[in-house]
Amino acid sequence: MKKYLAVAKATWQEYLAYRTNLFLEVIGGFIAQLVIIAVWFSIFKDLKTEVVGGYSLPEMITYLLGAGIINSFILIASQGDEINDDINQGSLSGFLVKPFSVPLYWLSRDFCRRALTFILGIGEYLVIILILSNYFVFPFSLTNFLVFCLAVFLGGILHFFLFYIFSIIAFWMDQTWGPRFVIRVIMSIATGSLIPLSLFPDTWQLVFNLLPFKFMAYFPLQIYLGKASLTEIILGFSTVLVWISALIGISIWLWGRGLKKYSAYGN
Amino acid sequence: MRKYLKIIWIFSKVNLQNEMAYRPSFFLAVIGKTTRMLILILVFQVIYFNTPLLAGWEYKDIFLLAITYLTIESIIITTFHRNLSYYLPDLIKKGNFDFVLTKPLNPLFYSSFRIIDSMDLTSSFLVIFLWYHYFTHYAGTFSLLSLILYLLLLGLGLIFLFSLLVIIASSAFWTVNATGLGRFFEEIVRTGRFPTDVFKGAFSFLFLYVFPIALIATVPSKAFLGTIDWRYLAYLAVFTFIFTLISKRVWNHALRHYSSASS
Repeated sequence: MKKYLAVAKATWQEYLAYRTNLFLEVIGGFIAQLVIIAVWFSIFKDLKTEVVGGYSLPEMITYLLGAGIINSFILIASQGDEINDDINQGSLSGFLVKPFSVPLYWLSRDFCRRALTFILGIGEYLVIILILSNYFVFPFSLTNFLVFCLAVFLGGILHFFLFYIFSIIAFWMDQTWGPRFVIRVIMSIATGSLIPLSLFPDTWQLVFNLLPFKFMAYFPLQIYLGKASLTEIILGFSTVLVWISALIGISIWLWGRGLKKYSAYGN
Repeated sequence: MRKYLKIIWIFSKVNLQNEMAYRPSFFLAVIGKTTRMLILILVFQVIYFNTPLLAGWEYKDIFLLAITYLTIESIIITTFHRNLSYYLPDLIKKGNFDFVLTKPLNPLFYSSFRIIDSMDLTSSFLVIFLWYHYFTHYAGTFSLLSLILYLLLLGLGLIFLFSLLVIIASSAFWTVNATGLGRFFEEIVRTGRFPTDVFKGAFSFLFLYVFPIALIATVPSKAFLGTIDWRYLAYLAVFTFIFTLISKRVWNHALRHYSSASS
């Protein structure tokens, strides 16, 4: 554990050098989410109604703010390019002779980046929550909030392993940017961070239920707002654990096969 | 002019050859990019699944706005967006900008169009299909004047975005790494996906007059639909002209500030 904390510390210092870039990225995402919020304000005003698709205006604003926070800090894939380059440019050789697990090294770096982005960006979200305080809904209960945090954490793990798998296919491909980009595009809608998934027509909801993405934003936010029943929460956590286990299994298998195929020169 | 068009053509061919070296990644990226375009249409479909109007816009009109946005986005991401946001800072950081200055070409032209993105160019064909879909399913009658005005405003929007990005990219001459500004620019452009009529009060003033992102898609679409105020168009034309002059001055100033990072 100490080794990975040291990795996290070194990564922290490395990313601090680019804090302005990270900050601007967060601000950009923040503005995009504000626009979505403006869109929903407009819809509620036009419809002159209290509820749209089962959401009151405060619930919708809270949902979108929460989705923005999760999107900005949890659902960022920082390691994809690095893993791809480490494998294809041979830097992996240097890691393999060191006494640590390389996947855990990448995981430490990934979580460190998320933590730093969180620290740099949470201030802006707190200001906007303060400005929109009339429309901000607090967690349904303390238990809901704690379970929400756990669901967000598991969503982050799920996200990491999904991108990790599509990064270590670099053992077989020269460039993995394409597949990772496809995943990111699907994620932009299927996590529910733009629009709550329950507002989609039934056919789309059926598709989203078959994918793991809803556990990254939609599911935690349903818990936060108290819109998920106990049965749905238990079923949701069971499913997300199955997804994580499956992805870890696939990643271990791919890693083993990849290492057998791996060859590099230099370094 | 012909010389520069010929050079753009050569850049496109060279880059296509480079990107086709990684064919699976190329085709997956094209799939991803076309899916991203379709997702914007899906977002609007879901919104209209729950409401008949969005800030006074019917679905057929919002479809026009969406494809206008996608047209603008396709043009900028194929041409100058990544060149100025990511590749130029990289050239400066590694000291390779010296080679740009020694070429018998305008440095701004070379820095903006050096890499013509074949993946984005390929996925742009979907935009043509979406235009076909618009004209066959949603478009009502329109005058030639509104079409010409639409195209002129599309051009004005491109000039505005180019000038904005030139100003942003110029900061790379002072900072070590300006890629965060590139991402920031992307998000600013994305705000143009929705009609600026959704903003009220100070935000409306901001996005219409101070920082007119309305020019990206809302204004051209309204011009096509014949619902635009001529006085506002005159304001936008003057604004873009002054903004372009400012961006040119900023770029020239940045060039004078440049000192090489290598030999």
